[in-house]
Amino acid sequence: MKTRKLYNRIAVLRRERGVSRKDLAEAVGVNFQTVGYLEREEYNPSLDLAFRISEYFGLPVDLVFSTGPLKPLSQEILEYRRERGK
Amino acid sequence: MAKEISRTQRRVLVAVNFVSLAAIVFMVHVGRGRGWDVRLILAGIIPAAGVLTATFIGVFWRTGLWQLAHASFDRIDERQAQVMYESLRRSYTVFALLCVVVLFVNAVAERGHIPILVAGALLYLAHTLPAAAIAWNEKEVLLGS
Repeated sequence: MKTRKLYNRIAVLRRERGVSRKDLAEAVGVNFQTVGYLEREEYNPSLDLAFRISEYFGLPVDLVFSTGPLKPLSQEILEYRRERGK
Repeated sequence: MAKEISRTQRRVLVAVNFVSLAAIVFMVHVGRGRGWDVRLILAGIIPAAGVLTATFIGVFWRTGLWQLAHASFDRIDERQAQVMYESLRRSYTVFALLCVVVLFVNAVAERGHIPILVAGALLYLAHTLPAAAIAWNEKEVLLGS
């Protein structure tokens, strides 16, 4: 079955919070190499795994995963602030 | 941090492993058929068995691929399950083709039975082919993983 590529912010979030691949892997119940595959966007997670990762970072799933290329978080914050300022 | 073993290294080790297995089968088979001295056959088999063991440890055991290929479904994650499915699909195809070749050669040679060593080699392949398919195709395989 051919699937769409999923984009994610796992690598950015993990580095931002100082979490190792091994720690994240243990927390969400996968092999640590799987985290590498997810970060390189070479593997699309199941819905369950996507939710587990999002819950680990305490963020909504659409902030961590997307079907289109993700903007840098700084840009997202800036746009959010501009929208709120309107 | 675990050291990565490159795809080229893995492919070379898998090829050497299977070639050494074929060499053992060939030497015993041809040696017996042509009445070679047992010491001569042993002189060929022992180094080949050494290479077979060393490459097995290097590419299947130390990388954890053997363990992965024999792990129960609840001990692997969803990506590993996907990798296993693909490797099993490939190895079934290769194994079926090998069995057809063995049966065909046996039929052409008009032998009544498949030699025990060939059957043993097929059994070895049945167990190592899934791990070999992963070693051959996977992007990232780590030593000691």
